[in-house]
Amino acid sequence: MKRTALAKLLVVTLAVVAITATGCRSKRPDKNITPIPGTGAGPVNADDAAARALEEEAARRALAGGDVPPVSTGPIGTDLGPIAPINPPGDTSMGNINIDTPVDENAEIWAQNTVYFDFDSSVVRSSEIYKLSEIVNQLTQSPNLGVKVEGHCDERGTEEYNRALGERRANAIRDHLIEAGVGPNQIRTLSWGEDQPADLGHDEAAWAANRRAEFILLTPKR
Amino acid sequence: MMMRLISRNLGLAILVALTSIGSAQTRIGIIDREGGRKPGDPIPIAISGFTPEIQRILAFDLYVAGCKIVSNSEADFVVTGKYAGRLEGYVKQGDNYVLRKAYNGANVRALAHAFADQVALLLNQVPGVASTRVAFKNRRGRSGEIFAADYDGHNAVQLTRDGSVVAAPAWGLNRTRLYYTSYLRGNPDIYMQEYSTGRRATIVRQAGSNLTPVPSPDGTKVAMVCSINGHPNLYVTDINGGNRRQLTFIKAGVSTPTWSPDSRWICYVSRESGPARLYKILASGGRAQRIHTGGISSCTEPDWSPDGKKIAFTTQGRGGFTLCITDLTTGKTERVVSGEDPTWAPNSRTIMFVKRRADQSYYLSLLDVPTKQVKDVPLNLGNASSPAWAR
Repeated sequence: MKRTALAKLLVVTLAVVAITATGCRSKRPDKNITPIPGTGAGPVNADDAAARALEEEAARRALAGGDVPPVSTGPIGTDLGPIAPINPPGDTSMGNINIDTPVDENAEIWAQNTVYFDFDSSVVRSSEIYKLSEIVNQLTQSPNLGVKVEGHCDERGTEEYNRALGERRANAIRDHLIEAGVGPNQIRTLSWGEDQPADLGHDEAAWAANRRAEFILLTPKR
Repeated sequence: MMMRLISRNLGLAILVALTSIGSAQTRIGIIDREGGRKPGDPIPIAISGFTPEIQRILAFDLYVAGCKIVSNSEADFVVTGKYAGRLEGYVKQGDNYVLRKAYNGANVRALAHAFADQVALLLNQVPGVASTRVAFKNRRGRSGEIFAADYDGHNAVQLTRDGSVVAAPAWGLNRTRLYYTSYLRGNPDIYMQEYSTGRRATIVRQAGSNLTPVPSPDGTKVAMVCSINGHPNLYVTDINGGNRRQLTFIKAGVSTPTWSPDSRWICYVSRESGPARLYKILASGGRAQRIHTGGISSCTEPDWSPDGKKIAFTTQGRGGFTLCITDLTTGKTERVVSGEDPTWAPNSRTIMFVKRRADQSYYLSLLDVPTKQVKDVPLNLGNASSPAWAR
């Protein structure tokens, strides 16, 4: 008897409490809920595994790029603005042809002259110096020609360290060319870091092939 | 009489529980009973009651926040709750609720991340990072593009589609712009791009290299490395690329600048004394100073923490790459974990960095600095590197 009365009372009390609580909640719902700004309402993923597979696939496709549509069409920078006109022209005393001078590039003609470097070094080995003489001869005989020296690295460095190392390699070559009589304004340098390997392998032979400076002949556009 | 008392107390308890959902914006009286946990020890927590997806998101987020996921009986805190359109989340310490929150208005991942951030704040007294984004570079063959994604790799968005080499993205102007180098026009030039519209402009295009643009935290300047005068040196321009000024004049060259949070100093790498070391210089110019790194040299890619107290960087040795952190207040440098190219989260506690697969391709990983817990970004983002945390 007593037990039944207690149970009844509990049920009633709980019901009252529940109603009161619901009332409380519906009166001030916003205070209790943190809206997430800027994300919008998204789908509820009922099937967890399927949702995850979908998202993996979407991410993979986004990164595949090319002909496959990305997971989310983000803003793509196609709207190339003008070069900031405030840039003063660079000092060319240390080399570097004006970058926007129209030139034809020929990467084949000096392909055999690629200079190779030791690991983490920008010193031009004495055994490699002979490769420069042909370039020096042509450039000193034809002051209207130029050369673009492109420094590269193997993959065993951090990315930006390698970009700096590639530039040191290109600059070391430039110094040799200038010393041999090439006009500083006939030379352009740049570094690709590890981004343009000649050999896509991951062994000593590939690394040795990738630590290099390449030469591209620049001729004035006719 | 007794029955009345019981029912009243019961009712009161339920009322309290319901009305205090969401009222605990921060910590409400966590009882300090860490049971011999030392600083740097992960906090043992249990997670239960959620859908598998939410469970997995919370476990990832809270592991990265320095927690260890254990069973209920071993846990100092139990994270529990439910999801039905809106997410309710609770943290219990023993029988006490120390956090009660509810969220709606976004997809389930965003809700779970928001709750995880609140739990991280409660447990660490430092904001979580689960709702933040990062930019990174993804390389395919001989070209690469810039992407942005959630810190766990989800919701990736492609930001360039040039089929060219790109390098070192950095966020600026309160995460509304990205600055980066692209070889799009045959030379490494510096671009800035609006994140939401994709509009962009070239800000430096000089023969030689124009590398690693980094906007100052106050949004007024950009630090970068250019070799306009033949050797790569540190330059500063205004935020849109004007008024370029050369700060260093070093034949050996400098690389990879990073700003102090007050935008007064720029830290960079220089080889002026032989091995690559860290220096700092006032953004207004002047004399550079060494930043001592406890005898560790071959320093590259420093990143100054947003609270100004630490600089993370990479050192390269025979054993590969190691992430180091120099504490600027104590002057001590610590080797933390193997990896490279760190970027600090906005909370100055979490770091994203780069690891290498066996085939030397890159992937992104996360480090909780106090516990040294490391967790790889769970989505396979391909050959992903050069992370920059939006902050």
